[in-house]
Amino acid sequence: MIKSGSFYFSKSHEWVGMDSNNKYHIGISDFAQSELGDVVYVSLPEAGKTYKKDDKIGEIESVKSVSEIYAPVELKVISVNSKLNDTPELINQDPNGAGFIAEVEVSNDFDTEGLMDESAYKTFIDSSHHE
Amino acid sequence: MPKFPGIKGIFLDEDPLMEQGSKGLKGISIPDCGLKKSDLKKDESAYIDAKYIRKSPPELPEVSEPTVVRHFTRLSSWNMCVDTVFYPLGSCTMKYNPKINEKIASLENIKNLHPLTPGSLIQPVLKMVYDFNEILCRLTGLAEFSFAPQAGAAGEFAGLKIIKKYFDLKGENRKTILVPDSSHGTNPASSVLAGFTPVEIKTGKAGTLDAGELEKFVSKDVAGIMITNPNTFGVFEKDIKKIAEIMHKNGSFIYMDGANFNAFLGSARVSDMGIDLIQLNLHKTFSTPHGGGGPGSGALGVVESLREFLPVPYVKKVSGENTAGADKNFNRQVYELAEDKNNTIGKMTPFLCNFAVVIRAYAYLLSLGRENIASVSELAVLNANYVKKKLGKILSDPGPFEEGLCMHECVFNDKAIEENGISTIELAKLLIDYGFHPPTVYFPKNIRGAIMIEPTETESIRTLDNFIKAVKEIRFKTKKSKAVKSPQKTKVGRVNEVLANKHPIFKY
Amino acid sequence: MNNFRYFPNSKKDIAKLYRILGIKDKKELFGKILGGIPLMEAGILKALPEEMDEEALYRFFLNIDSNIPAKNKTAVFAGGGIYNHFVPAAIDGLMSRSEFYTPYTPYQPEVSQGTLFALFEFQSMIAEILGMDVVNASMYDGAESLAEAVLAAMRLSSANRDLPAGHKDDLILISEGVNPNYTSVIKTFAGGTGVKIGKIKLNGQTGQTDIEDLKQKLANGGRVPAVVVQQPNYLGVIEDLEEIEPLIHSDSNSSFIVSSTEPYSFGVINPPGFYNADIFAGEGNSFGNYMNFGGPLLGLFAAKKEYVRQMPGRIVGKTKDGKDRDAYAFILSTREQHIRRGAATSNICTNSSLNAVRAAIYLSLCSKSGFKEIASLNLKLAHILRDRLLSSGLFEPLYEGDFFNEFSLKLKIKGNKHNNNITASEFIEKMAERDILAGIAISESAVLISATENNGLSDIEKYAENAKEVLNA
Repeated sequence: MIKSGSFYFSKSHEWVGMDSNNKYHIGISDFAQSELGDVVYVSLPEAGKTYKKDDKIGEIESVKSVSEIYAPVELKVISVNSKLNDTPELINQDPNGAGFIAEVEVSNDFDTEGLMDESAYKTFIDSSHHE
Repeated sequence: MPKFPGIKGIFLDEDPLMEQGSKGLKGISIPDCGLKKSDLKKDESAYIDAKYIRKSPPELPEVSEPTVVRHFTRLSSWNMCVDTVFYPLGSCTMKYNPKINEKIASLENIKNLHPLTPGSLIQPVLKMVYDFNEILCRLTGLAEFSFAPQAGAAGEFAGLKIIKKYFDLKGENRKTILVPDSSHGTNPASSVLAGFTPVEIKTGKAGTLDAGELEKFVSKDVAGIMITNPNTFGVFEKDIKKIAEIMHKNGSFIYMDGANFNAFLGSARVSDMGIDLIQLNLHKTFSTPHGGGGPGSGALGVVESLREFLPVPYVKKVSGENTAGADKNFNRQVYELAEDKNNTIGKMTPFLCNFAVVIRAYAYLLSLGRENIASVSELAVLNANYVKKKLGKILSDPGPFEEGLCMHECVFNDKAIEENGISTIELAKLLIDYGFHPPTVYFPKNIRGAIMIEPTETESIRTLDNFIKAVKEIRFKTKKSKAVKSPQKTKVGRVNEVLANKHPIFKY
Repeated sequence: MNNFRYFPNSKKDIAKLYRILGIKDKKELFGKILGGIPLMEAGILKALPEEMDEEALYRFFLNIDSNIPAKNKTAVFAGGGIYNHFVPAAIDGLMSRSEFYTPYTPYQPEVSQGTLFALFEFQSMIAEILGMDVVNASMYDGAESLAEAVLAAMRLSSANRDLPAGHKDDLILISEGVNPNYTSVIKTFAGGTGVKIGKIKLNGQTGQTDIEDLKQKLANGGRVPAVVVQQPNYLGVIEDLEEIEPLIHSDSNSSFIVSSTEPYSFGVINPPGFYNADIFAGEGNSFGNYMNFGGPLLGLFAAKKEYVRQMPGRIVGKTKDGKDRDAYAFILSTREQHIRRGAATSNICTNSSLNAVRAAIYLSLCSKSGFKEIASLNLKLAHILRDRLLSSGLFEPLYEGDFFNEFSLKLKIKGNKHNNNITASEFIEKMAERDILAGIAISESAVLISATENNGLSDIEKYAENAKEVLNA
């Protein structure tokens, strides 16, 4: 549902992207979910709240690890993906779609500094995670 | 070569007790206490206001004594334990738990002793705690121990609280505790609990802390360093004295996590390393049983200048009466439970200590005596180095510190078994079917697929060879397809932890 | 080197080990490892006691055991946070199984189903007794558990307010009915956070937490992350939690924490869950554990389901294995220090697992009817004892409030005859010489007394007779 080509990724593996109704969503990348393993719990951000870029907005837990979710851009949370409360596995199954974290409001000309488009992100994970 | 113990035993299935009941059954004998029938029958509302009275009693199982005994006996057969298998869990010191210690801790009057019994009636018990304290002081070179901490982490917390209070009284607001990245998770957690901010230092190339690297972190904000020695790679911190000097020069303290004290029990003193505080895990080094997770005791020792900060109450010698000799009659009041420590951090526990753990540890030391105590660390270190050497040829050592000797435990990475398509967790589970408890795995975190083995001094070469042979078979002969299905001979197979965490079920 | 009985390697084996490692002896081995740190000097070792053979060791401790108050002679009426309950032989029989007492923490669930299942049953039964949603697999003791409950409530409260972890403006209110040792431990734990600790007075007549004082302290403004009350309280009095609870919950950022040192009371009175407690933290030693001179104890920690992620300690959950068989494992471990390190909900690792298994066995033996019956016996015996002592004319009540198995009395002062007046602690010393642990001195003139199913009418009579002699002497 996120328009291909509209994704921007952060170095901490979150994405922000726009759906067909021109609404912005955020989530974590396919690479991030594969590193994490089976997601068992997601602590979601608060609807209505505004976060600055790189603020901690939530947490994702697997059985034996915790990783934090950071705001990839300055944003206001419109609504959260409450399906993740009961079916956190959506993050593993469809991280760029049904496993999104929240619908958010961002300014249309948001600051893309430090963010990567899809191909740049692919290069980034290929280079930094192949030892 | 002996046979693998394997698992061929009988596993009896068993339902929850809740499902085995029949209305009205119970398994306990209840005295009438001499009460009249009419009193026994009287409703509780004759004694207290009816508004407080519970309308429906808790739904406990309704079962007889034989049902309970069979139930828990069956359950027990699903556990591996030190008495049945080699249990080389790194950093946990799973040594033999002597049976005489259990018998001693079960002495009728000792186990039924109320902690607030007047001091004049419990002199022998107080003397015991006092004498054990003195022995620990001799073994470490420190000035005094407190038995108040109930476990290793509680000892760490008490030690850090002392450091905090020391600086508070000096009017210095130092906030940082330095912690190596290879430390036990309790170290940073205890630091935070005591009001500090833990700052991680990276382990150096040799698997130890580098004094030069440490200097970079030193500032007037540093209250102390927590250092596990030997560290969690089983390697002795060679720079320990230098690290202590750097800390002391900065007015800071050096706290040693004594979880690995078995490595030099009776062979070296921590005072010679410059250590200011240490907790000794009596449930590791001093042979008291782990109990499937507890109880323990994390006796905290400190140098002279910190004695006044120790938790209260403590056992104080109030008269100079000569109390030498084991079988003296205890008539005079020589010891008391005192609270007069000027700068005490306060209480950690409602009474004195985990006494039943302390008494076992004391019995252990008295059994060994001065003739044998130093052999503990010697044999533990020999066994670990034997495993390191033999398994080193089968598994590869964690790159940087192949050379040299380890202390009481050794750590390997998963490189060699990965060649065979087997991961660390699969090695662990495969070992179960050979009849061994798995080693500690995936810790320390900075070793890839870490496998951490601590054999302890109470294992024979025969057992070690047997274990090594099992690892060899896994390394060279085991197929991935078998590995992913292991263990196969246990009560249950690989447990679905994802399900357990996603949809938690906390009770019946 | 001697061949000591706990060491399975013979001299020959040891020589072999040295040979394989290419090392001559201990001096070289430790010299290589320790660098500049000296081997322990022979003189230091010499100052340690000589080795004892097993029989001598046993006699050494037997001598200690026979020089302290004897179980078969002493009537124990002391409580104050630990109670003298009957322990059935079946527990000791089962607990002597190495499979329970010699494993480590069950981190490998496939080889630890026995302990995990037993702990799951423990959690289930304690949850039922307390009327709470989630119980953990134990804490060290009631006091430490309560201190951790206060810290959990502080985290909950700052999370709700979305504030950083500073607590300078926070006030924890603790009833004076909470065991003073527990309050001390709370201070040790919460001391580093900057939080203030305030007291709620007791009502001078009933001995219950004073509602007006609580109201006033809550109305002072300021943030109160937790209010702590003990049930029954330290003086034995049953608190009216029904009145207290709504006052605390009028602020959604406040947690209502109930403690207890005697959860056996919940066989007769309403449990904390009945009064909508957010957290219960207290002592479970009464369930099948010996007093052991005060430790190890059994810390109980329970909370509402929605607070589970702020709970300290391990929790066992029920799940399945690959073949769909029931299985048990630790769950929600991401709360704990071995994963979350500095950000963990607690530093606790080793807990009181074995004591918890004892409690599970004990409560199973008690069963539904036995638990209630024994609780009821405690209630009745304590009331009979109190009536008996008051009727002697030597004591007067300290408080009027209802109680379970513990109560406090004042020694009556008799006119001007000063030489006849003894203090509470002198009274207890003198009674102890007569093989009666008469209670705990809680002030110059007041004694805290408990009775359990281990004190029959004959013990009660013995208490009353001896008290008469001691006080009239």
